[in-house]
Amino acid sequence: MVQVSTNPNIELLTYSEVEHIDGFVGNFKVKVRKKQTWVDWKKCTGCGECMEKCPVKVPNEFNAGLDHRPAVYIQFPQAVPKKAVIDIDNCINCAGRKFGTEPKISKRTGKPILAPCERACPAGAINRSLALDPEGEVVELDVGTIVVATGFKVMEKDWFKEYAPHHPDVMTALQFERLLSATGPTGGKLVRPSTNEKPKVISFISCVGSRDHRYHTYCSRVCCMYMIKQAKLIKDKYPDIDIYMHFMDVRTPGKDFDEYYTSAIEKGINIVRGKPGGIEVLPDGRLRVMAYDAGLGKDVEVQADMVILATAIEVPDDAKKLAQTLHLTIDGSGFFKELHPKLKPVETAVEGIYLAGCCQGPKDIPDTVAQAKGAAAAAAVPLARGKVVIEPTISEVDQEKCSGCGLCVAVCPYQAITMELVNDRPRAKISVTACKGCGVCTSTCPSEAIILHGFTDKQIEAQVEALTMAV
Amino acid sequence: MYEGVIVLNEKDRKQAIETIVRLGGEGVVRCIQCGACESICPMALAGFTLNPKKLIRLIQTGHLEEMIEDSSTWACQACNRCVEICPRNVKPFEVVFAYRRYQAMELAFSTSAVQSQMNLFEKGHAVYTEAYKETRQKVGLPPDPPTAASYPEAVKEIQTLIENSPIMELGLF
Repeated sequence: MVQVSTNPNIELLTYSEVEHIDGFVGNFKVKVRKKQTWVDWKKCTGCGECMEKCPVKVPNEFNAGLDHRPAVYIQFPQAVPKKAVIDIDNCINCAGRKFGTEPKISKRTGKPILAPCERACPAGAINRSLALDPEGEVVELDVGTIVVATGFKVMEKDWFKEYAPHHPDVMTALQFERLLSATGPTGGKLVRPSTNEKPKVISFISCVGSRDHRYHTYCSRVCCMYMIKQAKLIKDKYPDIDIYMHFMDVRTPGKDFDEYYTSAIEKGINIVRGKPGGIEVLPDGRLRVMAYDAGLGKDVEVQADMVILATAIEVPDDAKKLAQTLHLTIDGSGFFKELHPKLKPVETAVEGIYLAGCCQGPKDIPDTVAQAKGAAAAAAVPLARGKVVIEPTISEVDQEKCSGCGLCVAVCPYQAITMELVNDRPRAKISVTACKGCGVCTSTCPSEAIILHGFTDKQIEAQVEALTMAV
Repeated sequence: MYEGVIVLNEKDRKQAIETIVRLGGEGVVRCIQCGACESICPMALAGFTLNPKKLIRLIQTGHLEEMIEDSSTWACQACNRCVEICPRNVKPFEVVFAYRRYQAMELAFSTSAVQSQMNLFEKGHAVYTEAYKETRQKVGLPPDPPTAASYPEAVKEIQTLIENSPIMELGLF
């Protein structure tokens, strides 16, 4: 990421959202709204002094809510670019000074009384006097092709009432990953959140929300492997911790993956085939995992100190909005839909927009890297060629017949139709690059003004005649 | 704790696996319960209560004692079909035999087996009866076959071997 940020040919727009998109492949016009930060990023050095002075404590998204961050913050130590922002929704307006107002002048010193964050900043980058700009700074970009890579989120544990989600020692695998991390809330020390003591028994539960018709029918694909990784990490560091892993099935497809699973078994990690149906909190605060062992064919239970839930991978909350902005289609599971599952895996229904990573479906890092390289290569092709090949079977408006009602504009799934003025009258016009020849406009047009080349009424009637001639 | 629910614990599991590994069934840790061994095991097909897959899972979950009084381990014919089919190189037959050794150490075998062991020690034959002698002589053979039965020094050798084997720990002789 650091290399990306320093490359002169790459402009990085972080803390920004795509607002609107117009045009077609090779000529997209994208409006990007940069969110207001109240920190001058040209001055901010990422030193973090402001974070230490800010009195606010809100759940830290980066550590999956396991600890707190201030209202002025840098998302995580390795963030690129490493710049602070003020989360204005959580700013408590120190000394009663609302953002967007000038600081009071001290009667004693004659100098302005700054907020703690402003005072702490050695570079003078923070300015809470700036008024809220609801529009933000809008950047307009001319781009040829677009790669969508919005990533994923994991389900929260609160969905799963059967697994005692209120208990602090029940956590999602992502929270556990942060707990194990050297930059995590405990500095990498493995402790039970409820007691701050080292756990003795840890249970993992797979397929929580995945392969479950109450939530998501798909397999999240990465859980089995990351659970085994976490289990192995613990077992390597603390061989005295007992680990139980409850699997519906163990799914380890991929190069060297099953060997990894085998090595985990040989390390003494207990694999129990069968999904636990519930967790009960024992009087001493430990957790009773009520499970089933398919090997024994019997109900079993584990009395665990911590339970890790491998919750399902989902699309981020705002992916649907982005899909609408970009006119992309989404599939039944909410992921962005590729044009063809086998032959056009990175292309979308909109020519010039490509997909990479978990926004298209759950996948692990090797698959994401491979797909991202494919998407980057596919996105470079029209740019290098300078032209695109279009299908001949697309629609065209006979502007003599068009009444300018605009019905076709509303029904077109590819936003290919615009209205233009011909002799002062509105007339529909179809973009030859955006049209995919689906024929919806042709059948919708009340004036029969739109021809779908190759499928005119005359041609279809001739085909019917030819097919029925022999009868 | 609920009635009939097995509480999994690492202490029993470790002890069970260590015991079986020490007695020659080191493949027990590798088993993923695919069940190939059970599907072709003559012991399982004949309907014995115990079969390799089940025995291995019992050991993996720390239930070493569960089947100790079950004599069906002794029904294993050592055909080795399970060893040939096993995709994880578990060698289920060796696990069954390791379990038999464990059963023997706990004197969990039938009394008829004790008589055979004593015969082996005393005569050099596990199965030995006086009745053979007459039959052999009728067809013109010497009363004893040309085995340990005819050579007391060979019996001595067998006794030396047995005396130096773990079976002596059982105190049968």
